[in-house]
Amino acid sequence: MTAQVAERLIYGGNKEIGLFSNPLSLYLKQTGISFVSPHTANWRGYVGTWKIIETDGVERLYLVKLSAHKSYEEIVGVSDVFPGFDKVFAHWFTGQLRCPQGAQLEYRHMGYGSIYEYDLLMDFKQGVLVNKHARHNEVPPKKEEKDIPSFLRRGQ
Amino acid sequence: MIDALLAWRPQTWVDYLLLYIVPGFGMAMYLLAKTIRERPSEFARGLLNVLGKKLTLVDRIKDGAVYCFALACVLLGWPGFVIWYFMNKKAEVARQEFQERPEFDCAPEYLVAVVNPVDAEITSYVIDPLGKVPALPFGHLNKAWGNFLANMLDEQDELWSFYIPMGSKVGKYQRMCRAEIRGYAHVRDGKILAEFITESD
Repeated sequence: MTAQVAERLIYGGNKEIGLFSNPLSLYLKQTGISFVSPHTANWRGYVGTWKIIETDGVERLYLVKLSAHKSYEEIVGVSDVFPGFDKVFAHWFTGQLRCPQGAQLEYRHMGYGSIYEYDLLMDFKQGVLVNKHARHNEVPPKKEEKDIPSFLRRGQ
Repeated sequence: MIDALLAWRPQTWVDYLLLYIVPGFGMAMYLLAKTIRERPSEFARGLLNVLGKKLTLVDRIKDGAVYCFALACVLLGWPGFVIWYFMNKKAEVARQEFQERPEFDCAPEYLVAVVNPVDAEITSYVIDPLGKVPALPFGHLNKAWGNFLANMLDEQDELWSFYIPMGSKVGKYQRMCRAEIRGYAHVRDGKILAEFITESD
């Protein structure tokens, strides 16, 4: 599986950072909405831009922009998927958002599998930010030939 | 002749062996007929010839030896093939049942309590100071909630709340959930028929 294009997150300013999580997936599953994949790096068929907005000391997750392929040519936005709304509070989202930071330590040709120097991890409860911390990653040790099952090894 | 055949009784070990291989012979004939029916068409054979994959005499001798060996296996080991056939059939049915099983996160062990739909709605309103959620039960998931309730028509149907702790194994393929999951399940006679997830990652 090809590495997938990341969602975007705006947090603490106007700069967008990559987001290796799909907070919209539960909403789409529940409502039965699906999009068309425009290429192999975007199997889900959309890219959402999310923003954490603080109101009265509480930080909430909002979907502020959407570029979703209804068909290969037709792209729809937030107000098409959520009629009457220009941005949407992701109240259904309970879980962790992962934002990769720093240099890419290892590229993995699969989903959000690539490893970066740091991961900014943010925990949400019903769309409200409840905890955040950073995780330092290291280059994973290279697999040697002996660590690979014999039937998967290169021909001798 | 039929009378003589009916009057025949096995006496020597050769007679018993012949009697034993009769079903195997039938099975071998059936498999042979099937193989002949599924052999490559003239067009496919022509294509193989063009590609330089024409069968040589050695290939034909090898094929003949393989067929003879297979025939001997079927004649002598036909009870094993019969057992294998039924076991394979049973496994196929089990595979089919698994594929048809709905992909729910909720399982009976995660059900919490029976809930009244009205009570569920009262506690479901979402507060957002920016007003980016409709003032409806379950906010943006209201339409999905409506569809979920619309299928609860039977008198025996029950609405249960469920809670799946983080790290539990969920779904048909027993994947580990990375966050807690909450929602409601449509239950009839103890069986989960549908689920409505209100919180997940």
